[in-house]
Parts: sequence; structure tokens; C-alpha cells
Amino acid sequence: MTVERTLTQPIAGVLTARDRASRSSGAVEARAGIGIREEEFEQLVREHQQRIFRVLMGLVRDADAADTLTQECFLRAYQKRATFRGEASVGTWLVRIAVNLAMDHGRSRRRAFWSRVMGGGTRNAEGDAVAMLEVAHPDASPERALAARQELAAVWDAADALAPQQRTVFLLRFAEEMTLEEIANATDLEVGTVKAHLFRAVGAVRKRVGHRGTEARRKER
Amino acid sequence: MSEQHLSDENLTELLLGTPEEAVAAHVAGCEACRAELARLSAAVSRASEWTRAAAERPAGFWYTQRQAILEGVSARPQRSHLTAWASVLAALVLTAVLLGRVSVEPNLMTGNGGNSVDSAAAPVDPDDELMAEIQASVRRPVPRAFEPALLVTQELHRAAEANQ
Repeated sequence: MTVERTLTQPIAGVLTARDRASRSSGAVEARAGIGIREEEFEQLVREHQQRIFRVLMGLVRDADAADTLTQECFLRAYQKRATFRGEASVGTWLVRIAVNLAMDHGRSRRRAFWSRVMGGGTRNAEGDAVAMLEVAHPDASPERALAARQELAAVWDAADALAPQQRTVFLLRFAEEMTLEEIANATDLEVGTVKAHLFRAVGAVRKRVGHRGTEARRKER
Repeated sequence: MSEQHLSDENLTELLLGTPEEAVAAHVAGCEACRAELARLSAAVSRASEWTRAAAERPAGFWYTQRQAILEGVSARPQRSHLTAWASVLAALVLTAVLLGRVSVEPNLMTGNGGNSVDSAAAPVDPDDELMAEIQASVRRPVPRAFEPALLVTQELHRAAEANQ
């Protein structure tokens, strides 16, 4: 990554055009402010289910749980559809419901999952995702692939050590590329608080990544 | 700034793409900070890539998930219909109970129970009531206000007789 790129644009940038389309205003979004009609609901699910699943996948890192919580998220949205008043976008409103569900889901399952993945045990959907990352960078040498794995583990380790709200803010910003205002809406926090959470989260990740880097260099010697 | 390396806040601003000029200038001239930023940026991007890769699913998955959601949605209104019917039934019962109380209430007020109809048919003359009260008062051995004093006096007499 060049410095120029870093200084001129936010990082990540891995969301595809389709991902972004699912966040922008769709047919349901156009009627924001007067609730969501029953007949629009299927369209709402169609437009937002992949994004909500992705957000939940980032938060709980368990495909089955993310699937169940995605379904629950839309069921809750359906129940509350009359109360949607369009202060935020439909997408942000759904993310807010998803975040609350993920918070309730708790962190114990996340830890269990990650130890499974990092333990190099059985192959599963999440393990496949790690493999997919490597497929996405086919030119990477085994050393580079290992480094990527370690970087990822450092980020998740740091994220796991964060308070739930800090972790949520971190993932919504850097995995989902939401703006600070969107995150504030989705988490019911002030923008300043969102920023403060990000500072702490980045500090924690910085420490972990630095620590892993030092360890890796020591092993190489 | 050029003397001092990047703080967590500076790094976050850089990752957000909104660094202050001094921070940007420092990174441009400091190799160590540039390397640190690149390492951190790569790690964070990796998490984003992982999330996206892990959330990739075939079309059939989304279809099945959508069906499950819509089935769940169609199941919940049935429950809410039941709830609505139960609410209507409860309201009817409550109304019936309240109406019943209202019809019984006048009887309770008079304290006559089943004789309420007669009482209502023959209202008492207030003058007669006053006369009856005066006669009752006249028949008393002492006025009502002196009754406690009478009781005390009687008790004192009894005590004195007992001592004799």
C-alpha cells in the first residue's frame, strides 16, 4: 500500500459495488418516514439480507449464529416496521437491530469459534473463509499467507479483548465501512463517542499487530 | 509533530482518511510511522476481507434464508390475531363485569340489598328523621356527650362498693 493511497482515502475498500448497492437507498428506502408497508417487506429482506448477514458474521463470527440472528433481525424489523420513522436509513435501522441482537448473543460463542479456527481443526464455513482469503491472494508465498493469517488473528484477538461497543464500532467502521454518523445512529452513540471507541480499538489492534510482528521477526531469526 | 511519532488518535485519523496536515506531513517524512501505518492498515483490511469472504454464500442460501424469514413473518401475525381475539374477549368480559357492578351499585349505596326498590319508592322525610333523632336523644338517661363521664362515674362507684 502506498502512502499516497493511505493519506487520501480510507482503508479497506474491499466492499464490492453490489455490497454498496445493498446499503444505498432501495425501493423501501424511498418511503422512509412513514413506516414500512407489509408488501414491501420481502423487497426489504432481498435488499438487505446479505449485508445484515455480513455485519452479524463480523460481530459473532459463527455462520450458523449469523444466519439465525439475521432471520431474527428481520422478524424484529417486521414487528417494529410501523415504528420506523426514517430518522436513519432503513439499512442503518436494520444494522441497529442486528447490533443489539449480536450484543445479546454474547461473546463466549465468539471465543469458542475463534479457538476452533485458530486451532487448525476441522474445516468449516469460517475455515473456508480463511482459505478463501488465501485464494484471493494466489500469488502469496506460504510465508505471506502465514503472515496474513497472523495479521487476521491479531485483529480478531484485539477485537475480542475490546468492550462490546468498541468492538462493534471498530467492525462497523473497518469491516463494513460505515460512516461515523451511520455508526452513531446504529449504536445510539454520539459521533464523538464513536471516535473515542475507534481510538481505543485501533490502539489495541496496533499493540497486537506490533506484538505479533515482533514475535514473527524473532522466529525468523 | 515531526519529532513525535504517531499516536493512536493520529493513526485512527489516518485510517479514516481524515488526518491533520501535520500528521500527514509527519508520515510522509517518517519511515517508521509509514511502516507502522501500512502494517496496521493491512491487518484491518484483512479483517474486512475475511468478513466479506466469510459472508459469501450461494444464491440458494439467500433464498432459503429469505423463505425462513417470510415464513416466520407469516407465523407471527397468526399469533397476533389470537392475541387480538383474546384482547377482545377480555374487553367484553370486563365490560360485562363493569355493567353488572353499575346495576348493583345503587343497592349497595342504600345498604338495603333487596329492599332497595321499596326504599326508592318511599323516600324518607327529613323532618321525620330529625324528630325521630330528637326523641331517641330525649330517651337517653344522659346526653350523648356525657356518656363517657357516666361510664367513669359508674366504674368509680363499683370500685368504692367493692372496697367496702
